[in-house]
Amino acid sequence: MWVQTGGEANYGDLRGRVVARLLAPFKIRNILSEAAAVHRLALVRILDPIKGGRFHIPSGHVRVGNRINGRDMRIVSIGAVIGQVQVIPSGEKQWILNHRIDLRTFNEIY
Amino acid sequence: MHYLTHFASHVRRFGSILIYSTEIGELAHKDQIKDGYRRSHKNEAARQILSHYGRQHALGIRLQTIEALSKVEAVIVVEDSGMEMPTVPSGSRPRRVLKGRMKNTSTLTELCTALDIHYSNMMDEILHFIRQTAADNRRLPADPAELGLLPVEGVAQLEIPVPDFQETDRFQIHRPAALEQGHSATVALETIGCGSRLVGKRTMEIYGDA
Repeated sequence: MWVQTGGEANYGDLRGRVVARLLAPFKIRNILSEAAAVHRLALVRILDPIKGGRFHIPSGHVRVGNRINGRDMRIVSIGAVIGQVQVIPSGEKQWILNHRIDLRTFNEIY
Repeated sequence: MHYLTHFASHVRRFGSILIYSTEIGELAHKDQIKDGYRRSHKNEAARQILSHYGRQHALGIRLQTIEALSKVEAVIVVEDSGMEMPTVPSGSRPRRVLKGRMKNTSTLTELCTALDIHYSNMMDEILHFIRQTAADNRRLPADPAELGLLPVEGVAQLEIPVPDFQETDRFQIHRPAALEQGHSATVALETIGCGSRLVGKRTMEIYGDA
């Protein structure tokens, strides 16, 4: 999935988006507050953009890979989830990100 | 020259030929010139007549734009499914939907057990998320003991309406499903309601940890 985590200046050509795997969407209700608000969250596993999210010249695509250092799981609000992304395996725990799957993605990732 | 020979029969059958009709010009004379002259101070009126017509024209276009936008907000057409969804006012997109309730996930502990995730890792991530959110009365408690008491509902699927390219009223519905950790999974992605130029259904393969 695409998750918007930062401004357009982040993650190179990905413009503030990161690629993540959806592990578990869930709702949690804050019954301890007066508002008793329901928070709709998702546990995701972040895939790091390789080379800062810049295009891999030979393939013409951005590549992502498993995070090696630090925590790779994150809780995000489902409002930050933008949509699905297609990734194609390329090497050891690396994936090529298909930014040409539709016009919208192609227009936003270039 | 042959074209002219048809004019007489055409006028007899259908009336005056539009491109040679003086009616349009006469009407324009009233709307574009006389009304503008009446609203001018009659002194060097030509520029005032032109600006009057320009203003009327601009206002007409804006009114039509407002009318068109108000129609867009009324209903979203999801073509392939034949559904019509009311939109949320102020031009925002429809809400994301959580679907498919998971069994035995009524607390964070149970959710972690179902996902095979260590409870402390989950708690760390939630606390990290809470610290990033604004402090208001809706905010989740930052005390792990209190968090552990809150009711939770794990779900299997998330529906995300994604606006179609250069469209405001058509959406593709993306349906990513939760992945089991440590396994690869194939997830059917149904792409709905995006006009005839888009494919109806696609299947996207999502790879888990190998």
